[in-house]
Amino acid sequence: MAYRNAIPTPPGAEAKPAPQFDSLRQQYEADTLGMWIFLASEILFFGGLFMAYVIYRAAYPEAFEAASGRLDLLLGGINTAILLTSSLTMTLADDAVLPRNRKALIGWLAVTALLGTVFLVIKGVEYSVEFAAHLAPIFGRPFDFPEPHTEQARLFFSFYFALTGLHALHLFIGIVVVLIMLALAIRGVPRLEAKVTIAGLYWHLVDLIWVFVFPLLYLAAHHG
Amino acid sequence: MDERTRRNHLLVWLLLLGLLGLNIASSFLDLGIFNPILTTAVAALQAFIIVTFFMSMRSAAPVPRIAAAAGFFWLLLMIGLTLTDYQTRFEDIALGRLASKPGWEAPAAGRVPNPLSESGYSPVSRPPTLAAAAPDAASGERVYASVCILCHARGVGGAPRTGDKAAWLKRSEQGVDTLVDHAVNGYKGMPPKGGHPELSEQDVRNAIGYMLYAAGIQSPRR
Ligand code: HEC
Repeated sequence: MAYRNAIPTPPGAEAKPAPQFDSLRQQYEADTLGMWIFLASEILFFGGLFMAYVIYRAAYPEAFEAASGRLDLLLGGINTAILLTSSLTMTLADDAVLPRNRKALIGWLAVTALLGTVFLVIKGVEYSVEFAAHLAPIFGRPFDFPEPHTEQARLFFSFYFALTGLHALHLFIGIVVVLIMLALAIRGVPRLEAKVTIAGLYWHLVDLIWVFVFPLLYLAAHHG
Repeated sequence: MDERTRRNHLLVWLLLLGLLGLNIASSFLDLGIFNPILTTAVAALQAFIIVTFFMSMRSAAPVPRIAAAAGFFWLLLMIGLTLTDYQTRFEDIALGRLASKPGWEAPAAGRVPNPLSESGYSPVSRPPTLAAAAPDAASGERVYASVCILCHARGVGGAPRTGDKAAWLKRSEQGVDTLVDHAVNGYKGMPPKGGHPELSEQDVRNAIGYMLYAAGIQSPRR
């Protein structure tokens, strides 16, 4: 049974709240409250970028459609599926903490970190192709796009690298956090339930952000 | 009843993948304006599922719920207010600055580039007065900001939008003199002189020059 459903703490159960809390339930509420306040600020942070992107896309629909068509839909789609799957494995890891199913916890955490890493590798492949195709208007690199959409396409790709780059940074942090959980779990550290649940919330949010990045950037073009 | 069974997790995951497939498939159909609406709605549904099930919002306590809802509420507020602002001032985006409106002191209004004039610039505008569309030597920017902006800022009735390079390139292929002729005498949805007969032909020409400049067209065909 999961941490969040342990109300009230079963007497004599192994799972006891941290000293400052009356019950596991209270501890869980405090943990998730703090995390959600942070996540809300993250939602607004990415929301501002999404907003700016939507405005320019509405202003230059043809150019953004043409530019979006140059992204790799296949790799982007695979990456989305990978990230959705990693949310599943993170949830399974979370559910393994309180039953003290250490093997499952270690296994699912490892799979989650691996899926996140595969996502970053695929993203890196996409980046390198776009750099080679002169589609990256960053670091003073050359940018080639046919007229008359050159300038607007430069805008699109600036958004593309800002959004996916910031998302990749968040995912990288998530992988590091999951790896720390993994190390703690391997060393048999007790009281991981709060840590894993919070790490999971962060992980799911990174997934949630990508769920919007993908259609906004990759599906702005018609592929038919 | 424990809602967090492995079977439920798998069902949620399959549902998310199915929605992803639906989203990708929809980009292969031409639904016009409904393409972005559909993909965004599907993404929002996916986000709702992630928050509800994977982030266990279903079993969250009231206070974390309020914290999460506040995040999404502020997001909607930001989107709503920003869209209403930009829907009413498109040309600001196109030019990357605020256009001077009649009656407003334009910040550092000076030389307005005009590819159609001899010097390459429109005549310096006189201090703005409240009498809108005062003609004569009014610069293209002022004519634009008092008359043409009404339709051309947002593309009312299919008017080429200010700052839309593709649209203006297509138009300017007819040659500038044809554009001036059409703008002065009317052309399809474009009323003669934008519905302001007091404007001179030169005013209209200046305004067209301004819109070409705003679209980033440096040397249009004559
Ligand atoms: C009442 C709305 C309205 C106003 C005001 C208006 N326009 Fe237009 N304009 C249009 C529309 C609609 C079109 C597109 C006509 C078409 O091709 O269907 C257009 C097209 C044009 C064209 C392109 C014509 C061509 O040959 O393709 C020019 C140039 C132009 N407008 C200049 C101006 C100028 C200069 C002003 C201000 C003095 C102005 N317009 C004010 C509605 C307007």
